[in-house]
Parts: sequence; C-alpha cells; structure tokens
Amino acid sequence: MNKFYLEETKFTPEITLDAESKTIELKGKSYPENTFDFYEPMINWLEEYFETSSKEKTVVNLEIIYFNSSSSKLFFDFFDILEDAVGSGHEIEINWIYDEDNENAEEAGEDYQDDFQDLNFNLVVKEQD
Amino acid sequence: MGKEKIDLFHIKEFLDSHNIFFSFSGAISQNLLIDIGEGIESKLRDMSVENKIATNIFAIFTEQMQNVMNYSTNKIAFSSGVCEGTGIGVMGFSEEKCKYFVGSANFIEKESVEKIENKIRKINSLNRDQLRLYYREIRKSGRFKHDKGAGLGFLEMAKKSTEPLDYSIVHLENDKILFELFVYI
Repeated sequence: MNKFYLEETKFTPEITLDAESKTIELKGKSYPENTFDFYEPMINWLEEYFETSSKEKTVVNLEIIYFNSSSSKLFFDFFDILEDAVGSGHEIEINWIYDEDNENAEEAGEDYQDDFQDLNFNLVVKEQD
Repeated sequence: MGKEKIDLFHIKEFLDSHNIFFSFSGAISQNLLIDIGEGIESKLRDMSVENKIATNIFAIFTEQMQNVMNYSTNKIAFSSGVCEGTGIGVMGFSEEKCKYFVGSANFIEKESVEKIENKIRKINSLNRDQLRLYYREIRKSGRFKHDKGAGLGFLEMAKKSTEPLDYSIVHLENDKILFELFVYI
C-alpha cells in the first residue's frame, strides 16, 4: 500500500500512515471545517490496511493537542475501526500522547480508554523538552 | 433613504462597558476563524490568562464559530462560489461573575428550535460528572450525528464551562429566529 502523508496545517494534524513500518501517527490540532470529508481518505486507507496487512503489531501514536467536537466523534469511529481489527486478530498498540498540563487531552484519552477496553490503549505523558 | 451616521463611538462604548475585548459580525469562514483564533490565543497570553482557561476559551470560541458557519440561515455567497454563514461573535470578561465569556448569535431554521431547546435544557440539568458520561453516551450512539458534524458542540462547550449554557431564542419579524448563546469560563 502506498504511504499516506498529510502535512500539518493550522487546523488539521500531520497524518502519517505507513503500511511498511506498520505505524499510524496523528500529531497536531484538529478542527477542520468538514471533519468527515477531511478524514475520509484516512479512514479508507485504514480499512484497506487492516484488510490486507499482516496481523503483526501496528503502532498507533496520537498526539492531538486540541480537537473540536466533530473530531471527537471521528476519533471515536477511528477507534471503532481499530477495535474491529483487533477482533479479527490484529495486534495494535495505541499511544495517546499529551502534555502534562493539557487536562483536556488527558481527560479525552481517559474517556477513549474507558470506551475501548478491548484495545491496548496507553496514556503517555509527553516528556518535557 | 436618509443617511444615518454610523455611531462607532457608541458601539465601542457599549463593547467597552461590557468588557468585550473581541467582537466580530459578518460572514464567518474557516480561514477567518483560524486567523482570529490565533490572534485571540496570543492576546489571552498577553493578558496573562491562565493556560487552561485560555485553551477552553479558544475551544468554546471555535465550537461557536463553527456552529455559526454550519447552521446560520443567513448566508452570503461569494464570487468564488463559497457560501459563508453570517453571525456575530463576542469575547469578554464579566466583572459580575468574574469569568470570561464567549457569545454568539445567528439566525436559525424554525425546525431547529425545539431540538436546540431540548438539547440545552437536558445539558443544563447535568452536573460535571453526568455531563462527561452523557457526552460519551451520545458520542458512542451517534444519535446526533449528521452530515455537518457530530451534534456534540453544546455538550463540548458545557464540559468546558463553569456555568449552565445561557441561551435565548428570539422570534423576530419576517419569521426570522435568532439563536443567542453565552458560555462562561
């Protein structure tokens, strides 16, 4: 599968989807005007990836500093896809990375972790530079 | 038609007297939202607003402006073909409550009135813990999901606010209906 890469903008995160290294990374802010339209290519890529790739470990790193309410639902749907993939035998490690003083991100991570107890979901406090 | 002088002084006086440090009226676009948002973030930093509060102000501002963009029935079409929702947005500090506020208003569809009232009344009846659970429940069910978004905007704002959502629905002439919202942080 082709690597999928989107550069970060002021209102959308950097997205790296790499089937070869089996890594999925989102980093930045998320408040696009039309959330579902923006993330549709990523969702399509993911669905194809989990159908065609080996079941060895995929690492998902998410470092979302801020996201609007539509993005919140989108990420929920994203974890749904991951959960389905785990159900069909994929190994997936998810790292929800956030700054120590970003309470909103911390709380969001906790909520997702709670909602998706079948996922290997880690809350990771970012190391201070 | 007589020419009325636009009294900017009184507009400014009104804004200042309510400690409104940011106001915008017109067509809201995503680009504008981003530029304004950045400006506000740095302004809040200059004002030494605590990080957590500044972040929540920004989040609530973004939700309100995106609501105006999506739901305003008063749209302006530009030559580029882009249609933008119009409304008004303000940001200020309430001395009475000793809190920051973000407010906005836009015209809405008549059909939306009941839905909005029910949503906000329900949200305002919940405490913080209940809000967090209800948010997760709605998000999971996709009950309010539609083509413009997740329908979680009011819930998102309520979670970040320290008070019930302060809204009003005003029926104007020509069957126009104005939705106003103030969120305190």
